[in-house]
Amino acid sequence: MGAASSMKVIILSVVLFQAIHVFAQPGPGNAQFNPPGTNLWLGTYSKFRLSDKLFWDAQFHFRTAGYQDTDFIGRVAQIYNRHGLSYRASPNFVFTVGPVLRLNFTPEPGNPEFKNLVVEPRIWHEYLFAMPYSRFIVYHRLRFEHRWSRGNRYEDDWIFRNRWRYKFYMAIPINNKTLVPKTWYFIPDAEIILQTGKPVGGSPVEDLRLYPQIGYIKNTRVKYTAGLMWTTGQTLNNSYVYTTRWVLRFNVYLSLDFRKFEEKIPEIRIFD
Amino acid sequence: MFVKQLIGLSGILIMIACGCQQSFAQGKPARYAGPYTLGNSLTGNVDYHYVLSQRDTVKHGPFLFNSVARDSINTGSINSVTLKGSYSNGLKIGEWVFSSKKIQPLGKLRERDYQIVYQSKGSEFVAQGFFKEGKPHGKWLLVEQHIEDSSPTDTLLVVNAEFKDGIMRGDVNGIFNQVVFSGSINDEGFVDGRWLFRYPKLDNKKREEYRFFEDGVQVKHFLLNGSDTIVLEHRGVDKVFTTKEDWETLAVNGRYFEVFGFIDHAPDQLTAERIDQTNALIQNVLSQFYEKSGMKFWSLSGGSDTFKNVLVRLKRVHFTDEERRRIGDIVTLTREATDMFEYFFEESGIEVDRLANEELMLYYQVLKIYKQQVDRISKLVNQFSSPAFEYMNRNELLKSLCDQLVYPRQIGFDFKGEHKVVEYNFPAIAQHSYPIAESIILHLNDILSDVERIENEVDRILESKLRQARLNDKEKNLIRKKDSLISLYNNTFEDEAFNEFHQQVASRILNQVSDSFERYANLELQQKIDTIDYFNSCFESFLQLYKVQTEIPAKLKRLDEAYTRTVWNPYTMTDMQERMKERVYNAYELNILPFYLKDMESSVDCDDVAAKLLNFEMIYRRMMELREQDTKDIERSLRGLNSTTRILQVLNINLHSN
Repeated sequence: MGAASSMKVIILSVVLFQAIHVFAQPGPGNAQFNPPGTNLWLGTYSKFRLSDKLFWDAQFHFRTAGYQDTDFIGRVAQIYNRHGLSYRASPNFVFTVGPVLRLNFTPEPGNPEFKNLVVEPRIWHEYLFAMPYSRFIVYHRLRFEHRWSRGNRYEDDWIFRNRWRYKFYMAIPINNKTLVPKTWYFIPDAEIILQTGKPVGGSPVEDLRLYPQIGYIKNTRVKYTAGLMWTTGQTLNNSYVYTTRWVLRFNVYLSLDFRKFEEKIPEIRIFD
Repeated sequence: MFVKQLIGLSGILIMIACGCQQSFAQGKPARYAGPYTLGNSLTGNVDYHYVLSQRDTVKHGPFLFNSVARDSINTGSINSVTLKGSYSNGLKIGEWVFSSKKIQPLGKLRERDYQIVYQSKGSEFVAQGFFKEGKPHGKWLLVEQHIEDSSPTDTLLVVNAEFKDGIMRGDVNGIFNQVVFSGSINDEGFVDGRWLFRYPKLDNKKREEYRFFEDGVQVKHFLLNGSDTIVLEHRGVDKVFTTKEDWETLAVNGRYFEVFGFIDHAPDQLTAERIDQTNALIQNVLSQFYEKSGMKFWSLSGGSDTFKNVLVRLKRVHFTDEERRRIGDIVTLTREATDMFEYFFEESGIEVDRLANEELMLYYQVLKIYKQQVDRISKLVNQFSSPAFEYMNRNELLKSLCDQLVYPRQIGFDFKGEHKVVEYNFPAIAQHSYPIAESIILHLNDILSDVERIENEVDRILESKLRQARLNDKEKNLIRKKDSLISLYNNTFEDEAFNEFHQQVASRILNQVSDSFERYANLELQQKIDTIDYFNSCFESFLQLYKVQTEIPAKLKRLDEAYTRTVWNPYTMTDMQERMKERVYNAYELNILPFYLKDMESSVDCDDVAAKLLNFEMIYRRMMELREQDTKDIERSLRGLNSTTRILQVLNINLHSN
């Protein structure tokens, strides 16, 4: 690892520590943590190659949440669709832009005060940097979302917020030296999500996610990851009240090539 | 210029003489002396007497003509002609002399009687004889001698003869070019009796030639050479004159001698030259009484009859159409045979190999004998086109020829230092009731048949030799390949290229090579010749196999690479390699290749190694082709397939099998 990269990791750690420290400060009084929620996120991530540089990014999440006596899968929480066009500016830098449509289901199924389904559209763009090292790869992801949302209560109004997300994660192969098919790998993952907007007030830290995962690269087209994510963040209305969640995540990543046959075949000399 | 004026003046004088003819019409003798052109070509001075009769000048009395002229060709040489005699009423009578000198001044001046003269050299010819009423009659003499330093030296020619009423008859004798000769001519002018030609002795041996004639017919001809007698038979020339047959009278000239020149002309070159010399002598001697260097000198001044030729007789037998056809056939057959001989004797292989092959040597000797016989026939029959053969008995010649066509029962020849004697069954010439020419035709056909058989046999021997020679080269090649294979598959030199694929078949190949070589070594020669190419080809295929096997790892790697695609994974943002057309490649890697290698390992021999070599190349190429093609349908068809045969069908790979 280079010295510059090490410095980045240190700075990031300091920032995160400071953030947690700040969040832990009591607002009007001491910080208050809500009992942790449990969630299950099942996700599919697809990147379809459209040309040499252009990809279609299609993500889908089916999320459940603990409800009443049932942890993780007590109720359907959200269905989440994220799409975008990715442009591979270089092998180590990709930026993406596109829409998101999230379906938020009622937090209290059967309660007539809540609408069963509320949509939440977003526009998002992200900038992903890869820093390959000999035995692992470090990623820096900056994602920005412009979201229009409302609660499920009938009287809730639409609010607009911006999300400022920075995610640091790594891919560390376990049974191979590089990330090749048939490789198990470990993914340390941390993301800070800040938000801005009129309704935000004193709750800029929407979420801090720590998400260690184990992945398996089945082949060049398919990989899997699974992990338990811990998150915490300020509630919108009471900045000293923090939510915490344990989220079980299972993801499938697909990368398919939609190009024409000829474009997939690298040119070689057929006969010597 | 002066000479021309003289010629002109002489013409004028002749005209004057003619103009004065009337005044001498009564035969009053007159004389003319002055320039004169003899025979329209020879100019000189004349002094003669004449009378005029009916406006014609009739020579009468003495006549003397002399011409001196420089040789226009050989500058400095002087030709002098003198004609001297007498006329009586325009006819030559009495003694006449013709003299012709050819003199070359030598540049040595001499004074004589107040005259300065040159010394000279050259020759003089003199013909001296008597005429009676314009016909030679009486004794005649010819002399020709050399002149050196203005004096006669050796005599080239002296001939004494006698004429009677214009015909040479009686004894003729003399010397010509040192050959003393004598002979006689009968009253009718035919050569008759003994003619003897005595040549100068050589090595103190007398040399004489005798020709005997009877009434113009040569009946005997022989030469004495010391104590040896060479009798010339002159077969074919009839020697018995009968009036019932078609005999022809001829002058003694070249055509006559030609008849004798064809057959048994002479047993050797020296004798032949001597006979030719005698022929020339006879012609010269008999002709020079009236002709010298193309000049018929007695005719120049007129007043004499043409000299009659001395005569001989020959029997004439005309060619019939049937005879000409048969001779044509013989000529054709001899040419055909000659062509075959040329082919045979010009074949360098025969020339060389006969020294090492007894059979060839025998055939060589046989064909030499045939060639001699055919040459003999050819030599005779080809001469038949000459007109001289009209005067020869061809049947007798052919019969004589047949008598000469005798073949030995055994052929002796030296071979590798030993003298061999081999019996050979030459075809006998059949002399039945056929015309003799027909017998010769049949015999020539027999010769051609045997020669053709021999040439076929020789071709077989040469081909066999050639193939043997080629075999030696091929065997060296085979051994080299065998040794190479043994070294390679034993990995004697620890070749880096030696790999698992070599190892897989090594013992089988080594067994095959040693078995094959042993099998070849135990073959008979002809079988070796017949099969060497097969074994060489087999070993070559094994060597090719080694080479192909050397390339297999590289080709497998190349196929692996060709079916591997590097893909940039958008999630890991890394390059990953993936197998393209995985089902196709798996079918190849897991099914076809093992099948091929197992097949190679289980059975590889001379008969199928070439095919199996092709198989690998075919698989490789087909896989490379498939890589470039859209193989969705193929891949779909491959799903769940385990049968190699079926997989090969789906991939459209048709392996050669034995």
